[in-house]
Amino acid sequence: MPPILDPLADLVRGIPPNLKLAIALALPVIAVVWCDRLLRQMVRRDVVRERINVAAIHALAAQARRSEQLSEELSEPHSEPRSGQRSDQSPG
Amino acid sequence: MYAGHVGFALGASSLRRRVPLLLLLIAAELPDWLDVGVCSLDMDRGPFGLYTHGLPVIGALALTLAFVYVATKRDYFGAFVVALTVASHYGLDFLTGIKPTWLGGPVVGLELYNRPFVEVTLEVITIVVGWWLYRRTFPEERRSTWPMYAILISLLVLQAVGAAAFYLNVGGQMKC
Repeated sequence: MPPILDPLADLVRGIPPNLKLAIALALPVIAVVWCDRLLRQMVRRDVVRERINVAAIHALAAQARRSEQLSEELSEPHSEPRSGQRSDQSPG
Repeated sequence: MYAGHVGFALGASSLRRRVPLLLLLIAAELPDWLDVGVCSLDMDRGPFGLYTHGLPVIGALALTLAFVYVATKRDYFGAFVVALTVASHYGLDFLTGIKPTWLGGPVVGLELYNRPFVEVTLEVITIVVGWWLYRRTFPEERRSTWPMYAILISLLVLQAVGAAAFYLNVGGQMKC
């Protein structure tokens, strides 16, 4: 063993074996679980953002349809009487 | 084997995403956690660790954990994945060390600890394959994010540190 590692080795030797094993086992588990949680949060956020985008697209499409309908109605000639409607309303 | 067990758990999680990853990680390391418990209680691990790493014990741990999982989640395939992950501990340790079978039975294993390069390569392969399978379960746009690579790098670093401590004999015994 390189002499530079001696202080570290002494430090680690001072830790009881069961605690050393527990730390060694826990470290990769903690690292993986923490990163996995972050990844799942990212995916959840993506899903929410996607839903918001889809809802916004639907709302915009509906608004576009409404304005198109409205502009069509407005462009229709107003002077033409509708069928069955009396044109002269003047009394006697 | 050390971080390779975690690599296997990552790979196993790709078989059934519904199974909590933490459960699979604990399942993969369960016989070693049993060692921690036995050591803390100042009990005997048995010859070659028979009471924590023997085939009957591994089988009992696998069945118990699978039963608990199926009783709570009603997911039979998930329970199979849990049991497989516990059993994988024996298979992976068989490659790297020597392990007991049953009371009075032979001690078996390829003892790759005697060939550090092969042993570390096997650990790295297990980690990378497991991580790659786990990575595939995520949407494409999240497969190359930093937490995804942090998993791989942290496992490889821990494995490197563990191997260095083991082969350079830094810090003495890990098990009682």
